[in-house]
Amino acid sequence: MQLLGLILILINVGAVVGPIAGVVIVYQGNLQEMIVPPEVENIVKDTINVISMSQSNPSNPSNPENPGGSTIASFAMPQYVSSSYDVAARTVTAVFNLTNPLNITLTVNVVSADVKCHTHGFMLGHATMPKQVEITPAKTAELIVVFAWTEAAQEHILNSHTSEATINVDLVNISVSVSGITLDVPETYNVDIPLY
Amino acid sequence: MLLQARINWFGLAGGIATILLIAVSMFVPWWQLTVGDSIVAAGVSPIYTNFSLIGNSFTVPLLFAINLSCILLSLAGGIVMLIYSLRPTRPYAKSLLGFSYKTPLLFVVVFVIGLIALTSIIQAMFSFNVPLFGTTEVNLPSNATEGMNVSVLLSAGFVWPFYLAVASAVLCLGARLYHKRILPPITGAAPSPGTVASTPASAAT
Repeated sequence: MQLLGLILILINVGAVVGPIAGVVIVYQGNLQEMIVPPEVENIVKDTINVISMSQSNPSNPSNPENPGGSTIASFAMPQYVSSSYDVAARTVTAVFNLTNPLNITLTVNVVSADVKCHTHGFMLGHATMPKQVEITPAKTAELIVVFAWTEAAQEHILNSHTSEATINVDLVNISVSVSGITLDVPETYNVDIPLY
Repeated sequence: MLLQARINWFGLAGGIATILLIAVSMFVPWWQLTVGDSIVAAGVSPIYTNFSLIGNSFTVPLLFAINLSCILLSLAGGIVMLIYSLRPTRPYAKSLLGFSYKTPLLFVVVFVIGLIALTSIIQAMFSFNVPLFGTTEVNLPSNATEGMNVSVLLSAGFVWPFYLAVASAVLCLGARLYHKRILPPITGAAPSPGTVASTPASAAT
């Protein structure tokens, strides 16, 4: 009976101490890696590279030189492809290409912004994405953004920008929702929209 | 009737449930947390813990060691419970039962306390609420997002192996309680060495 009790105690102690002691011995040179493995550092480094490369080189969808040693391409700002007007509906439909450099499928749920005339601060309308887009890893997908301008905006353009080929607008109250993460951007982006 | 008395059915079921739990917990976590649409995901159980960050899975070595300890303890507990259940009236049965019935209960209790502690620590350190179950939208602190308002959808919940663990713990606890009914009732104090127990037969002589 005592022997059995001793065996059971030894099983308990061995099961608890054995694996933990084994890991401590394996990682004795670098105990930090026992808690934060090198894979995590690589993932964080790659993610920071993706973000920093996209900020330093926003027009380039990928960086072939890969300066940070990263195995993944950088995020790039959406690339303008084309646009079309529907005067009757008072809408501009713009198409952009967006590349997903990550290893997971991204779902772009919402892209929306208010559009203001830069010169006069006049509210022209609202731009939004009519349907969500899924972008598989390392693929490019088309984002369709529809800008609907108001009747008052039409009068403003006719009265104040009648001789201009483009109108300089500010995108404000920008909201982006990607794969369950929503960003409300406080900054204003300035773009030119062709009028004809 | 005699056969039934010699098997602790609660223990048998508890032992089988414990071993089954080890097998399923290798693939399905007890509790799962996802950030956004699985941009960050954590599957946690005493048996297996896995993290995924932007599509890349990784394991923390220390947690792996703790998981391995839990697997060994559970496996030993399950096997010992099965051995006990088939021989509950043997002299060594109580030692086997004492060793094995506590393990599943201990895992469930420590796991739940650990989760509550972890979510409380995160709330205290980062000022956002991680749900134990359900979905919530969390606003990240603005100093960490360069002034942008970033909100993240957090979903968490217990997965079915957790309920199997609870069932296993209840069955093992049931085995402990049922053990008293299996043993023959003790009518008096055990005779001390060197004394003769008085029985009706000996009293008659």
